[in-house]
This record gives sequence, structure tokens and C-alpha cells, in this order.
Amino acid sequence: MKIRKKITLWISGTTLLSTIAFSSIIFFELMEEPFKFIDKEMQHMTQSLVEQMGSPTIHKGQYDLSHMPYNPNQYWIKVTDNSGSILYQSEMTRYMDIPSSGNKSTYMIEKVIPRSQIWLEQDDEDDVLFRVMVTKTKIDQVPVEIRIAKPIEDLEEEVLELFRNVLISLAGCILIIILLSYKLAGKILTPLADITRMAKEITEKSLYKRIPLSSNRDELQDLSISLNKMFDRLQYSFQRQKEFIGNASHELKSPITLLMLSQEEMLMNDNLQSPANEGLIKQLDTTRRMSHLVRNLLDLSRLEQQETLDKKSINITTLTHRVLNDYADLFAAKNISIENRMAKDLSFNGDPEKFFRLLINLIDNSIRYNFEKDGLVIIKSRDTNESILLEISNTGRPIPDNDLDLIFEQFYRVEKSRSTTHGGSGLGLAIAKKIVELHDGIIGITNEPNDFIKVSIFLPLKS
Amino acid sequence: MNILIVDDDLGLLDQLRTSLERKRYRVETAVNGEQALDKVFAVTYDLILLDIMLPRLDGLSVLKEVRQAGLNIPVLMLTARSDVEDRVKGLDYGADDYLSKPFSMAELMARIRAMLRRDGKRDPVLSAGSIKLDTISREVTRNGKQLDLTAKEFSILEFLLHNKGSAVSRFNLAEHVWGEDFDPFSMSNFIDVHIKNLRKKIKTHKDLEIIRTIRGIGFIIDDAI
Repeated sequence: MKIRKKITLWISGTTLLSTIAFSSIIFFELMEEPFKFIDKEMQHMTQSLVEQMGSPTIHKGQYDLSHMPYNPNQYWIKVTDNSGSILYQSEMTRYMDIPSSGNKSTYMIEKVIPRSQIWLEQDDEDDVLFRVMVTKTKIDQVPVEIRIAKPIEDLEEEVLELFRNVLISLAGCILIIILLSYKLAGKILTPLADITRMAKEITEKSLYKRIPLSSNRDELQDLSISLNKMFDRLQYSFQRQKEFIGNASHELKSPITLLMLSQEEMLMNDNLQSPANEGLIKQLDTTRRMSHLVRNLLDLSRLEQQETLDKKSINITTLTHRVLNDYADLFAAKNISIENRMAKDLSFNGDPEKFFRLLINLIDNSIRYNFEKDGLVIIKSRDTNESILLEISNTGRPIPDNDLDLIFEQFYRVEKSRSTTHGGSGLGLAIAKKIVELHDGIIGITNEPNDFIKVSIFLPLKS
Repeated sequence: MNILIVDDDLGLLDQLRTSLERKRYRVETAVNGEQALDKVFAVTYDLILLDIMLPRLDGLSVLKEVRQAGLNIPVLMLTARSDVEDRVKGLDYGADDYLSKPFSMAELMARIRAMLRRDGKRDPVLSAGSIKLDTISREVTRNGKQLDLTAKEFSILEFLLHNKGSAVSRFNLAEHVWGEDFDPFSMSNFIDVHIKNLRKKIKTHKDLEIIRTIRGIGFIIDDAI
């Protein structure tokens, strides 16, 4: 999961939890609110009742309740003493009894009272909900229990609506929170994305580049500094590796020259007997292979360290003809036909020596990895104002697909045995790739139908 | 013929001395630039083999001083291949030719002989039997009659003539004819084709070959017996 999504999830999650907690507190508070008014009303009623009943001017059982704050007929009221004898009861007690419920002072109770008897706040099934308040107090030193109940509207509808509203606003909140936190996460991650983009720009070719540091000293700056330090080390070791190959090859040259010269010298000495002679010929051949390899290694190393080219206008067509001409013997010997479909006077601004080498390596390969006999090599070109596409195809055994990308690596061979069958140093394509890259081009190899292997070179004309 | 070889690799110096002395050259050696200059200003040499990478004073500086002193001795620079800059600089400073390491004795001999002939004091014409090759006009004649050789055939014949009396391998011929950018292993297989054509063109009598095949080694050119 992307960090942006994670951050969004975290922020929305926590905000959502607190919103839910907050809303539920509000919700329950609101639920209590209507009952508070009723409870207050009933409390008030109870108090007035106690005052009226305790008044000495009134006879027992006969109470003038006209001065009550609310009409007592609207309530179910029963005042009993300890023995259970009723001191007062309101009109409504005739229709139902409301039991005293344990120790609770306020509670709800539901009763079924047919609408035909008395019209209260019945619902469709003649259910009435009562809010009951039980108060234990003393009137004239006599302990009494006052039970007051008030039929109330069924609040279920309102509660449901309230709940719905809360849910809708919660959903709206969630949507806004997710949107905002997604934006916020993006904002937090922007500098990180910048660093990533800049780090991506630093490739093997541009190892000298560094990530620019932001002005404020924060964690992101630390990250940039660490990355830059890593690039320093990387650049250093790359440089060291390249220099090493170059220096090693250079140092090998004199000893190889010495070996070659002395082996040749010995071979020219006619006194040598045949077995020794043959051994020596093999040795010389090996020395020569080594020499060839060292040369190619040094070439590759120099190309890798090269940054600027000695560019001139090259006529690729002429140069290709020159190379083909030099290979005429090889083509003839293997009976390989050449189809040269190159455009006339294809010109390109590049390094002529390196380009010559590139063509040699590619044409050499097109013969080396061709069929033993009667093969075909096709050279094609396509040029526009912006680029040149050069394609050299040869018949031959197709290259396994997994090897196609690796074939430009140093010393990579499709089959290990090929080095003996086909010769070559295993550096030809690596050198070719390097030369193309130095000219800002792209080189690729593909298997084509009818047993063709195609090397394509794309060269941009504007640098 | 006096040759000065300047190289800091003692083993290589020794080998070159042996090989060149066998070809009857007088050889002197120097192991660094300063020593080379001391010797050049003290003795007259016919040719200098000068390595570019030298301790004390590098080969290019030695060359510069030699030329500034007005000495016209032919100088063959020994360079590491692909040092294009060194190569160009060397030729700019007045080197007559360059040879990149590793090189073969045959190639070295061909270069040395070509250089020694170029100064005009020696005959520019190489010969074997009735065959004559003019290194300047680049013409080949048999008994005075001009032969029509391809560029490669000329190059092979010239190389063999420079190494007259010594066997030359296919590999060295290929390296010489095609140049160092090509893979000599691929090319050496095609030397025989060219030798065959060359023989056809220069043959005087049916059973008289001036280019002989040395089994396992290569070819040798000699005056016809």
C-alpha cells in the first residue's frame, strides 16, 4: 500500500473515531433532554402536592388541588402511606395501575389502554408510554410514597430521526475527512516525491549529480544528505572500478608483448623438435588471445571513462561500405549474401573512429553468429529529421529470450561453449553499446521471424 | 645500424635487444627519459624506439627535446592502443610512426625497415628474386613487367618482403593487413586465399615458389633458389 493511502487511512481513522465519540455523547445528551423537562415538571408537581397536602386547613382525603401548577387530571398520581392506604389518587388511576418499581426513582413503563376508555397518547396498538417518578417523603411527619406518571409521546420516531441525522452528518464528515487527509498526505509527501524524482535522475552516467538540499533543516534534509553521501561512495567505487580495469589492462601490455615476442622468437628457431614446436604454437595462440582480450578491455574501460567525443560529420553509408569491403573475404568464404538497403549518404555527427569500431563489431558478429553456410545479412536504414535508425539483421540461431537483455553485458555469452566455436572476446557488444550510448543513442537486439537476429541502433540527430 | 630502445620494462628491453641483435642491428637501451636524452645527444642513432610511459621524463617530452635540438632521427613511438590523443600528439611532435603494444616481431621489423627506407638514404625498393616492390610508388614488377595486385595482396607482399628470410604467421599478417580494429582471429583464416592469389600473380616458374608455407607457423619469402 502506498504511504499516501496509509497516511490518509490513519488520519481519517483517528478523526473518525473522535467524531463518533463526540457525536454519541451529543446524541445521548440530546436523548436525555426531553425527559429532563418532564422530570422537572413532575418534581414540581410532587413538591406542590406535598405542600398542598401538608397544609393544615384542609381535611384529610379532601384536597383542593386547584392551585397546582399543572392540571392533576393530566397525570396519574397516587399518594400512599406506609400501610398502603391511599391518601390521594388522581382521575387517571381509575383506568390503570402503575406499580412501584424497586428503588428506581424515575423510569419508563408501557401500558395498554384502549382508546375507547381514555384518550392518552396511544400509538396504533393502544400502547401508552409513561414516565414515572417515585418520591418518598413525609407529609405531617407521616412517611408517604408519591407516584406520579405522565403519559408521554412515543419519542422513538424523533430518536430515529435524530439518529439518521447524526449518521448522515457523520457520513458527510467521513467524506470530507478522507478528502482532506488525502490532500494533506499528498502535501506531506511532496518533498519526498521530489527527492525520489531527483534520486531517479542520478544514473550510472550522471553519478556526479546530487540532490539539492532544502533550506529548512528537517528530516527530509537529513534524508537528502544521507542519499548524497551514498552517491558519493557509489561514484567513488564506480570510478575506482573503471580505473582499475584500465590500469590493470595497461600494466598487462608490456608482459604480454614480452611473452609474444619471446614465443615468436623461439618458434622461428628451426632447431626445435616438432612436439615442442606444436606446444609453442598453442602457447602463442593463447598469448595472442590474451592480448586481444586485454586490448578490448582497455578499449571498453576508456570508453567508460570517456565523457566527450571528437565529433565530426560522418558518412555512415561510406563507412559501412568500407567495413563490408574489409569483410568481403569472410562473407565470400561463408557464402553469406549481403543485402545493403542503406540510404545513400546517411550522415551523422559523431566520432568517426568509434563509429568505425561500432560497425566492425556489429558486422563481425553478423558473420560470426550466422549459419555456417549460405546465410544472409541485411542492412537497413531509416532516417528522419530527428533521428537515424540503423538495422543490421543476420540469419542464425535465435538468441534465448532471457539472454536478449544480458547480451550487451561484458563477457556475457549465450552459450559458454560459443567462445571456442565462435571466437571473440565477449566484449564486442559491450563496446558497441558503450559507443552508441556515448552518441546518446539506443541499441537493442531482437529475434525476428525466419531465423533472423536484428540489431537496431537508434541515433538522435539533435543532441 | 644503431637502434636505441627506450622502455622501462627491463624484460621487454632484453627481449627486443635479443631479437634485434639477431637481425644484426646494434642495440642500445635506456630505461627512462633522462637516460634516453643523454644517450641521444652523445651517440648518433639510426632509429629510436620510444615508449610513451616513462619514468623521470615521458616519451613525448623526450621526442620534443630531440626535435627541438634539430635531430632528424626516425622515431617509432610505442604506445598503448586507443591513446588516440597520445598518438596524435606524438605525430605532431615529429614521431615518424607509432606501434601499439602488444606487437609482434614481424610487425616491428616491417615498421623499422619501412622507416629506415623512408629517409631517402636507402633504396625504397624491396625485392625477392625477380619480384620488385617499390614502397614509394607502390608498384610491383616481375622482371620489369608491372603486376596488378589488390590492396591486400600488396600489403601482404610488402609485409613478407620487410621480413624477408623470416617466417611470418597468418595472425601477424592479418593484424597488419586489416589493422587493429578488426579481430585478427577471424581474419587470419582468409590470409591463405590472398596468398594463393598472390602466388598465382607473382609466380615465375611452375615449380618455383618464392612464398613458401611453413607448416604450423605461416609463410616466408626468399629469393628463389
